[in-house]
Amino acid sequence: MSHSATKVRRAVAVLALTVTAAVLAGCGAASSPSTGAAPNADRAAAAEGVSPDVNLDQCGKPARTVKHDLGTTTISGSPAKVVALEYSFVDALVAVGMSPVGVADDGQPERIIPALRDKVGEYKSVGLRATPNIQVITALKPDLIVADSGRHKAIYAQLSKIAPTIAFASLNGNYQQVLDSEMSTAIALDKCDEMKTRLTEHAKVMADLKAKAPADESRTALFVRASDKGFTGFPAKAYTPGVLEVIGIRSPLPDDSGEASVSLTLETLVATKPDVMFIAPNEGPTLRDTWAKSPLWREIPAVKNNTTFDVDPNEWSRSRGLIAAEVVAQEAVELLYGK
Amino acid sequence: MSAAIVAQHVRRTSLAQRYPGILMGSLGVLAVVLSFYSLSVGATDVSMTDVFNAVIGNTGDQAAQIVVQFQLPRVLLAWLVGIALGVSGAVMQGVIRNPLAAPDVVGVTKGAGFAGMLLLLAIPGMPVVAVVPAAFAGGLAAAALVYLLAYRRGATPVRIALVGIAVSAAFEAGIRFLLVRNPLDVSAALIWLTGSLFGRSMSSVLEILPWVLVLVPLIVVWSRRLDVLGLGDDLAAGLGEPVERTRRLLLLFAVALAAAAVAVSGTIGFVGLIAPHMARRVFGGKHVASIPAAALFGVLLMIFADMLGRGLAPPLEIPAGLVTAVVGGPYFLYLLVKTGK
Amino acid sequence: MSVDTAAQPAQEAVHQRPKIVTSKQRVTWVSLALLVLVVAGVVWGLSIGSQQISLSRLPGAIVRADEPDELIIQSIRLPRVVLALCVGAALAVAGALMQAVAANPLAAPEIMGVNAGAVFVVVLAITVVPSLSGAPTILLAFGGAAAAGVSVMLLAGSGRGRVSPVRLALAGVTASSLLISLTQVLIIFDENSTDSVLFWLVGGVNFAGWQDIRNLLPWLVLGLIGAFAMARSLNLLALGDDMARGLGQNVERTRMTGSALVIVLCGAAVSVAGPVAFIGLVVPHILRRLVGSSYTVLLPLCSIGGGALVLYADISSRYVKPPFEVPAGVVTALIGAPIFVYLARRQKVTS
Repeated sequence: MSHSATKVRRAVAVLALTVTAAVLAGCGAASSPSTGAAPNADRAAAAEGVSPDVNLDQCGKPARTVKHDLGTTTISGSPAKVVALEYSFVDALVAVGMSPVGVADDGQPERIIPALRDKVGEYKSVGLRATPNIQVITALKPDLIVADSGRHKAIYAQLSKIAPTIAFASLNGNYQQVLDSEMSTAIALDKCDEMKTRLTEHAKVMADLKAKAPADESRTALFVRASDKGFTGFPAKAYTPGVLEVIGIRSPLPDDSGEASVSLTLETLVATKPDVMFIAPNEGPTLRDTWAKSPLWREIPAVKNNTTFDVDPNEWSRSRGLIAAEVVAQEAVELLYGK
Repeated sequence: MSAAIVAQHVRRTSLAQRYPGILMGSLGVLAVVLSFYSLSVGATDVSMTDVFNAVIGNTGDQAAQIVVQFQLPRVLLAWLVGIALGVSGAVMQGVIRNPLAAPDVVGVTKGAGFAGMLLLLAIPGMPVVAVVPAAFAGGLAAAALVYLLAYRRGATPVRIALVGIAVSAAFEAGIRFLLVRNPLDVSAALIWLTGSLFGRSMSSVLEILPWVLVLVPLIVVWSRRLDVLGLGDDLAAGLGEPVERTRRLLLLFAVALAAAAVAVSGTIGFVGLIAPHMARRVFGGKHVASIPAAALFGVLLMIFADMLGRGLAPPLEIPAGLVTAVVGGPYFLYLLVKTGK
Repeated sequence: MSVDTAAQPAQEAVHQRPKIVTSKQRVTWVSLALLVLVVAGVVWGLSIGSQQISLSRLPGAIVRADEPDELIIQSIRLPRVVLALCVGAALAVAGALMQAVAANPLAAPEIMGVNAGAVFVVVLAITVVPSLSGAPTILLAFGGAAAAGVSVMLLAGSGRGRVSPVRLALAGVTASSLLISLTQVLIIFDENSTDSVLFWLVGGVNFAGWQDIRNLLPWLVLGLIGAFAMARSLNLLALGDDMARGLGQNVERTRMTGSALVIVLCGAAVSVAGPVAFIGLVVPHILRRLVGSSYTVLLPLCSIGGGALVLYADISSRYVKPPFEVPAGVVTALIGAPIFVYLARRQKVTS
């Protein structure tokens, strides 16, 4: 039975498997997900709070060329019918007094937060954010489509055939990227002045909220999503912690991992020592309910100080917009300082 | 599905074997009619008139026309993927001489899935277009690995099937590893893994077209050799067939077809398994008839799955791979009972 | 060389070198080695984590936990280690039982669709009724595991005695892939937490709490005792249906009881830890090589060996992507898949 030839073949096969495994491990090790470009967060910008990358010089032109994450797109006239493929783009529309004709709302309209809902009015659901229905979008005959640069990269070409399409980081976008995308969207909509006014107002709202917080606030606040089998923390550079930082509350999670979110166990949570916790729970029982029974839960400073708050995942996590940021900051100030 | 029922009924009267041309023709017509009908199905109202106008290039309702234009590549892709998977499955079942063999079984699907995921997840900046050649290479590599591992003084059919399952499991493990290491875009990855024609355009059609155009006719020409292989290794060798070489080449063709299909549509399951069955049941074991028939049944399944996925719960899209699994799963179980007797 | 034909009963296929009896000495050594492995693994598992905690705290933590460090060991690391042992024991014993009942070396819960069935039903339930969790999901998991496993067995074998390994594997893998696609689509439409997604696709014990153990334990004890009690019947079954009948065995009853135990063990394990892969295939296989195939020895050792494998998989999963943790199922899948390939290659195949 055991030929030397079969032995060789077996060896080759084993080698092939090993190489596959090695390649796999190697590729895994080499990957370090990087999300978008937002290096200019700190630099002072022309429009209030917006980074200099945004081409404000296009404002007011009849045909405006908008730089976005998947290229540049020229939009002429004033788009009236807009399809938003993420909640944060609904936010941008409402910020300049417009309303979308179509929204990728996952078939769950209640995910559009109250602060926007009344101003949004009637719209057509275009399906899941992950797989928006191209047919429905087409039928809406939009003048502009605003897409997520990660999620909708593969269908960007098709969307562009329907209407001029601009794409920004929303799902993995941080606070700065969101402000920039709102301004860029406004340029595309020919609503520059409205957005500039709104951004100034936004800066003032945030400054007022920051003023309500004590200047020497040294507590750290962790924002987490809780689900039945997960407790996901967001590091400093993610959207929600970015908003909290504007009003002077830092995240206890270090920003060195390069990850957009971090899966926490009770032990890592205890080690993180958050002074405050904002928890956005999914429907149904979550890990938090299980952990709350453990004596260790009470060792977390946020629990000890009684500064653990349940917040709405739609407002705090899914919306990722300018108006949503004000809602988040407002709620944080109310919860923390009772003002 | 009604096609299968009709076809089965016809088989009982054994008309099919006597007049294969007529039945094949009517299956083809059915597929074409279903394709046109499916162009009008979806979340918005598109009338058949709009479809007709759009296809012949008349300017009717603008929006309806655009709808059809986006739908058309999907329908074309459903044809090509259906043909590729159906023919690939028919060849594999012929070569492996096991009615339960399919592209899913010899590792192609999972290998292609793994390679595609590797690109989608591990290398973030990768252009989407690169997924296709990667998945294709992955599918081929997995099949080669299966063949290599199954080879012991010739690769017996059953061993190929068994090793194929195991190697598929290994790639599945790799897929999970990638998912866990790069959890950000899980939902996009899952949609790709379930298999869907969502958002596909003409470029996907062009990517799979050459493979189908070259390999399918070649396989049809070789269908007599498949019949000879079906007689068993000894008899086939006695008839002067270079058994191992023919088997390798045919498997290579089948694998290439399946890999091309997975590369453009994700891992759509069961089509390669059940289309050849329906074909054999209706047209009998002669491959010259059963291979084109498997292609047609593949097309019918794919069009049906894509249409149902679009029309069932608009505006939500149900991945075609789920529909084929839900339709194919029970059929497969029925087959198991059938072949067990 | 003997020729494997359909008439030749099962034991040929299950153990290609049948040696029912192994020297007692060898069994003792293997048991000792496993115990040492488990003890070392427990200590290792208790000592790693994001907090540096000295091992000298261990005894204190187990007796009474007051300080944070002791609490971490007592309420996080200890349940995690214990759950790993329990889940491993359940899945490995279920695998051995399944191989005996199906007279098939490739029968294992993950290959036969049992795990996929349990996961699908649980995910379906928590998607439709989000308030469900804990104990009721175990019962649902039983339903899913039973439906999937029984249909695969019946369909592959059509109720006859011996089923070819290929048919069984093909049937099981196909049923699994159907169930997994269904589960994936449920997850896609739910658009919820990534962690939950990964848990239900991969399985692990990262978030183990004492509650999980309380949910699992009664079923585990029931399953293990049942399995150990039927070891002798399983040995007779391995001689083939006719022989076993001749020796006064009720073959059908043995199969039914064995299958029921498999479903209890797998359903319970999967509902608390997700579909941790390949334990039921790998552990019985390795141990059979070491101590022979007498189920009186094999089953208890499987319960220890399975626990050890999940425990070490869980420990090494923390090194996959530090400082984050990944579910242990990833590691067991990467270990198990090559062994599956090896086993598949080794099958004597008659076409």
